[in-house]
Amino acid sequence: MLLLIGAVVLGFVMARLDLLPRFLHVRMGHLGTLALILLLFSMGISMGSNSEIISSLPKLGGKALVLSISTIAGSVFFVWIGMRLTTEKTSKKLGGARQ
Amino acid sequence: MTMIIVGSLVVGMLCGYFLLPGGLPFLSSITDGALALLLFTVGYDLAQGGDLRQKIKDLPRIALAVPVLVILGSLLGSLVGTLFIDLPLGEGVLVGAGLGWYSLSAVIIAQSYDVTLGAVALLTNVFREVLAILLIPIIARKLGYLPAIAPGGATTMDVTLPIISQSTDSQTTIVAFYSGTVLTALIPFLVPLIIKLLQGF
Repeated sequence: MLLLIGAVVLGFVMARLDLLPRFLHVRMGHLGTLALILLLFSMGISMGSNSEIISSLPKLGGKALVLSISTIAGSVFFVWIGMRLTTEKTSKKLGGARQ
Repeated sequence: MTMIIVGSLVVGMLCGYFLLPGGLPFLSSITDGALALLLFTVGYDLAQGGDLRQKIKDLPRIALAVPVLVILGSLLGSLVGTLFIDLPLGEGVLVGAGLGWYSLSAVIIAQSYDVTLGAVALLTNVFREVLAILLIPIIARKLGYLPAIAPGGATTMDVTLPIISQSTDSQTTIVAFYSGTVLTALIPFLVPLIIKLLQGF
């Protein structure tokens, strides 16, 4: 967890101090996309090869799907309604009603 | 972008299931390395976004409450969801309290409550993370940037942060990082607390 916070802070500081060479600076977007693909691919492998996940899927998958959808729906609804109720400060872009 | 996201995840899952059923020895190091690199680029992008202090000041006050809203919404959402399945209400809420952090919540529930419910928590929170990855860009477009933080739960400080960063703006990315950090810090207390409450009844 410290590694992860450290990575964000390091990236921030290196950008502010302009420490990266030009060829890396201009390719930061590509680097991010590449890392994202690698991350999701390796997460996929660990899920697909996790016998605990695969073996419990047929029996418990339905329940888990209902619960995951309902927790997501509940949390999105609460944040959305929170933004709506503070209309005067929250812009439409952020999820509020102010134009 | 969504195609890349879905594609990498699905191809990885299929590879894991069909080609590498035993997993890979350095897989977790690869995941950690990719995640660290990704978060480095998120930090790098944040620094390009101009005056951060001003952007934080410009945020609506309600942004501070996002982690609280995410917890309340997740608990109530799982309560409603449990009505539709064969599971005691309190146990559904316990599973929802994992907030997407599957490794931790599943272990705590399996060890100190019930092994089968631990497996449900594992699957539910894995699904939550996968669905969050798929839904964040859509919610950002349809409902606004701050609601797009909600599906990720505790994972908005790591795995889903780059997706939020690419689908929203630097202001929202800061709120997402803050919310994910608060939730990650709270889960080790929230899940055992709900277990205590369940065992008390």
